[in-house]
Amino acid sequence: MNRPTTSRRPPVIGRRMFLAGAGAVAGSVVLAACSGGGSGSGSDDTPASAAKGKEAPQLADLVEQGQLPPVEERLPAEPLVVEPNDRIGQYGGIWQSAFNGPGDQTGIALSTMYEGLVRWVPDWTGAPGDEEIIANVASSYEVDADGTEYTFHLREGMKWSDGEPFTADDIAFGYQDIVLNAELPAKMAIDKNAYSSGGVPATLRVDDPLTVTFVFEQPNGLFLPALAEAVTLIVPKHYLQQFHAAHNPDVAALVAAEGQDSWVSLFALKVDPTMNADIPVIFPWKTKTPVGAGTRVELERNPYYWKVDPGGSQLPYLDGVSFQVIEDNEVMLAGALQGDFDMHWRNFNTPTNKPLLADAREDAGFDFFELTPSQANRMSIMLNLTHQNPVLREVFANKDFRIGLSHAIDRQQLIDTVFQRQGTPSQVAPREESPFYDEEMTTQYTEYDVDLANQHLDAAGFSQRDDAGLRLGPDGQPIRFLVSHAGVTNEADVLDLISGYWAEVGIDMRPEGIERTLLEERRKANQHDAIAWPAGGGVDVIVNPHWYLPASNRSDYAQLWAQWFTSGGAEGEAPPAEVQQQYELYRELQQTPAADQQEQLMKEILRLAAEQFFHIGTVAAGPGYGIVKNSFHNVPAAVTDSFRAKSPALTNPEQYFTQA
Amino acid sequence: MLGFVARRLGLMVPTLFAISLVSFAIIQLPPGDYATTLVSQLEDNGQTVDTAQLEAIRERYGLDQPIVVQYWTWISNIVLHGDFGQSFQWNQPVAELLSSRLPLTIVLTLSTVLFTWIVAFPIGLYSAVRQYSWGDYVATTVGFLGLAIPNFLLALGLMYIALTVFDADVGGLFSAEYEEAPWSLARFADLLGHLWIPVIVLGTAGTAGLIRILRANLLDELHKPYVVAARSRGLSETRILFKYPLRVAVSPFLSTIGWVLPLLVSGEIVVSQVLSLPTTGPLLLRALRSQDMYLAGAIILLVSVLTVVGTLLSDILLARMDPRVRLGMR
Amino acid sequence: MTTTLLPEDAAPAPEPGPAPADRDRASQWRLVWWRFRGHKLAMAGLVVLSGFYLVALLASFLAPHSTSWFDEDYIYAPPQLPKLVDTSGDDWNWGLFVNGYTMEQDPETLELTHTTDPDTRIELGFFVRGESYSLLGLVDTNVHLFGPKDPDQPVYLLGADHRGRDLLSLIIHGTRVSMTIGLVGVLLAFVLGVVLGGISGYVGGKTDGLIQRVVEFFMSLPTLPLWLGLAAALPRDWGPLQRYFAITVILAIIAWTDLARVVRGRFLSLRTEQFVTAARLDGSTRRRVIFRHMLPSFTSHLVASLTLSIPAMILAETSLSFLGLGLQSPVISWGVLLEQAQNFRAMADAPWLLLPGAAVVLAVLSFNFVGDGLRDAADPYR
Repeated sequence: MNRPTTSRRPPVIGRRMFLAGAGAVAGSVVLAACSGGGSGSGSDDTPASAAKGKEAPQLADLVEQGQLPPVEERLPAEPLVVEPNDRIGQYGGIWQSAFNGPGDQTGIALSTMYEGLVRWVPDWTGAPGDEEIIANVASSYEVDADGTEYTFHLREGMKWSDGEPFTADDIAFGYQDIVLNAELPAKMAIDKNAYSSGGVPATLRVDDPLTVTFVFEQPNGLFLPALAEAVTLIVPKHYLQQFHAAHNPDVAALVAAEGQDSWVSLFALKVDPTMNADIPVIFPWKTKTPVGAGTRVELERNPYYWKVDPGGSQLPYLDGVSFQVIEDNEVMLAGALQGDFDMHWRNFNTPTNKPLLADAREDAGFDFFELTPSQANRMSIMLNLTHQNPVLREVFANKDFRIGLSHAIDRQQLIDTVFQRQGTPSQVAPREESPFYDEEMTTQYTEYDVDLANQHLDAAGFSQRDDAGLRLGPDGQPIRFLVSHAGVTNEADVLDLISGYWAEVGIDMRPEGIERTLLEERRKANQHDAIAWPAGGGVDVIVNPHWYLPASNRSDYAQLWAQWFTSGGAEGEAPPAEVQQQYELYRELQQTPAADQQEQLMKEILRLAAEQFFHIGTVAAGPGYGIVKNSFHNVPAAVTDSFRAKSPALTNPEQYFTQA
Repeated sequence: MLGFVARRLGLMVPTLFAISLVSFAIIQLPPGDYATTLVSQLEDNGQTVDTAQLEAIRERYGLDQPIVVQYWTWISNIVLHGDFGQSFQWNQPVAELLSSRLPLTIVLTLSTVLFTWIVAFPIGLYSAVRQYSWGDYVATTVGFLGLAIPNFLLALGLMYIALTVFDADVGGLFSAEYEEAPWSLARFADLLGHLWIPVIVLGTAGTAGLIRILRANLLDELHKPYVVAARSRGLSETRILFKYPLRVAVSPFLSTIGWVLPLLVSGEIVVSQVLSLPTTGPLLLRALRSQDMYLAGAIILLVSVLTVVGTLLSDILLARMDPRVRLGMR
Repeated sequence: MTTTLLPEDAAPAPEPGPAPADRDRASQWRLVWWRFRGHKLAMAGLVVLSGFYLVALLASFLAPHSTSWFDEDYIYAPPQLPKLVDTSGDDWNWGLFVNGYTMEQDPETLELTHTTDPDTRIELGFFVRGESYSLLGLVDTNVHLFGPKDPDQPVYLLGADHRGRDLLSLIIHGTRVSMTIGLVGVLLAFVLGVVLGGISGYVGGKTDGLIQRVVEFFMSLPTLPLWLGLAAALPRDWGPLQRYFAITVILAIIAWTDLARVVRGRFLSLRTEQFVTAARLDGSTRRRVIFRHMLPSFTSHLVASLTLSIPAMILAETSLSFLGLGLQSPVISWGVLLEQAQNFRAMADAPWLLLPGAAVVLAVLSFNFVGDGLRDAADPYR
């Protein structure tokens, strides 16, 4: 097979085009470099590659029997070449893994279902612009100078897993009939905003069967990251149109036959590859046993997968993936200890369990790989700055009060006691790996100093105390509030200690562990005093900004301001001038395509966030870990742990392979 | 007797109606609904869901309807069409989900009951006949230990021992290779190899209760004048024991049927959860947690029906055993 | 009473007791006590239970440390063995002490190792000064029954938990909550069960039918969603302890049904007994027939079910904590403590964390033995 490239088409706009093409190559190179040596330079000629042929043996058999077209016809004209992380592999084997069952499909999607028009490079750091974005399903893409037109070139001869051709029609269906549909996006919680700029959604132009262009009225600076992150767009029209009311007037019959309430429910079920084994996909593996059908979710090789290794052999190497349903994480740990999993990185892998796994790894034949955290903080305490109760609002809104509380926390003791001595004291701030890292922002007010804390609390105006030594609020009553948490990790222990620290400085805080749904109800209704939650935005700074400015209803420290922002001033409450300035900067950022300008704007937003000191951070996480069998290869030594970057799918699982 | 049964059956209808209504309301009692759960799952994956979308999701699942309307749709579909609705979370008909889990739940429950009876009967008998002997003390202590150790702890402990000492496969009821395999002798053996942990854990708790009740009842009977009379007439001890007192004392075993029946459907929740068993218990717990209300509702309704039926059954059995109760029923 | 009808059966021969002359005049409960003393396990159980409640009462005095005390250098520290003589120096050094630990963590595996450090000698003493507390809510003091002479030094006779807290102190403090929190609920359920079951069984007819339907109704109510729901419905400013207490009381309204069915069954079979007919023909009021004649004849069963439901409550507390529905930290109860032990890490590296389970087992066993003893002792046919 000819050595395929990703930049054969003549570039329309030089720089962009160059970046896109170079990105793909650079990404692969970096990926190969990740392994830390061992990747032979002449890997194309290894005996493994020569012996194994261009396709998996069982597919070759099917071709022989005439049940499948030959591999050359199944691959696109220019298949994407994936540089293996370590070395070229061999066909065969099932990737054994596990997940918690319904509601935890994320684990499946993150491992095996990441194929967008564009994608992140495997060593993603959240840099602004498209430096870390490479073409994927699209063989190349162009963006015009002002960021209003995004053109994508599809791969000629690329096919769905059922052999049907993949064309611009599918993209058009995905955009026009799903994203722009009147009912579907809201009812399926698809984020339409990513496809709009200035509140107006893009129009899609199908230039030819292999070329699509998104046209925005106003520049959209964040479109590529949004595409690299969300992949809802790419669905098979030829299969799904039968479930769509606009394409099938008789959809009601299908709805009734499937026992669904509406065509939307039916469509939502059919479009989800974890729930529906029939939907054609472009992923390395297609679903054989969906969620709920058995005690496992099983995926099998997609015979039409459109990526190859450098030797021209069709990927994936592994025959399939098998996710065992294990609801209880201790049972999952037991499985890990016994060596049941080839590569696994979720649910069971707490720092607490690491010593046990370390003990078992020799017998069970696995080892650790590093999960590089992408969270900004293990736990942030978000005092409700827009509290319904005017007294608590006044107290919380006082920056000196928050600084005082922050100084009162002995973060090193938290690390030593509840975080297994892992991590560093930190506020909510971009991580060191991020281009937005700012030491001042990370470390401000993290010093444990009770006297300083008392000074700040006195300066805040709460120097009066009652008989029990509790500081009195503006209403003359002791300052007393709840910090709610859903017990996601070890919030209960952390808050228990913090409650003690704050009692030392005369503040009565009580942790409140509640069910997750109750927490959701409370925070959506702005009924919380304060919420403790792990803070995101450690690496995904630009695309996940609500930790640094109250921009969405995930900003629990100021729900009313966020409402004001998202509703365009119709609801909620107007925030102070500095926050409004942040909003303006962010709006500007959204419409700025240039990476350097984006970086400037975001840095300014972060500077204001540091100044505002919205919420109190505790500890920045140390590295996590996953496990990988010694016989399971091509998993990088370090994988970024981020749902935004879709790890570990980010590291190209199609090139994982087993070899004893 | 027939009249009694018919009357009771007739009375079941309003009872069940009330139970279904209240159960449905109780399922809704926890804050939020399935839409909240779904949204929090989406948000955990970085998506932002605004209030309008939340409302749209509610609408999609019919959660925006008044609760009375929701109840009516639910119950009328069950009564008129035998349709238990759709599980939100599993995206499957509730009936299908239950039918895949029920057989193993029933197997587990029945094995547990059998285990309980087999262990409790001889111990209870022995410690009543040989009251205050060392054997009695030892038997009761061992029996009660099962009751006294919290179930989940025993489950986890056994699992840990199985894991570290026997290097056995823990969690679930089948090894990986037999999970989806068709029934065969080997698969059955595999099931037995996994079943012992939950059966012991679940059985030990019930055993102590039965031992104590059997012993107590038997002691009550053994000291009654008719036994003294029988003994004075020279009947053998064994004969005395088995002819009457045991028959009376055994009634608690029969009344267990009353609670076994609902358990066939609900299974045991905590232990099943710890051991990750593919039974209905964890299904119910998860459904309640995620507010998957038709699934939770169906399980709870079935359990309620069987509780009522079970009560009736044990009443009838008791009546057959004990003529005094039969008379009182008129 | 039936007991007095058969005085010669009143007590087995080996039982200790006053002279027969006393016995004829002894009240029923005194007879019960005499017989109860003969049941060795029950007596042992009674002693243990009294011990537990004494511990609950004097928890702050008995525990070396408070519940909030911890030392991050002693995470998962194994139990320390108290020693009487120190041979590490040149001379033998007498006095009660424990050795400290030095803790190290493997940076890669995160494994903790504790090595006994013979050089650190933590002196122990009785009636030492430590953290101050209020004894029985009356006296403010800082005297603890035993503990380190220097209150800042760590002592872990039963080992430490994942936060470096002293397990012994935690178990002692946990006794208070675990042994008492559900008592009111249990009593309420008991009274409801006896009264409603009694009425149902004695009166019969329509009343019986109605009560039985109510019983069926409550029996079928799912408790798990109720826990979930009530936890959210109670006022937020209630502490976790208050909430839990409130829920146990509310659930008592459901929990009486089992007992009610048993009581009813007994009444049904007793109504036709000759002594009841006799009492009725004798012109006894209905109330007198129930409370003087019928109820005492199965007091044993009632006592048995009461003593069974108290340990059930202790066990329920632990299970609910497991599901995250029961008490939660910072409240200290046996269930909350056991929750920490419910993972393989604790089983492998800190098996002493299962000790609160031993407390649960001991308490539950004791209640059962006492219940058994009472049942045997109250048996009217003996």
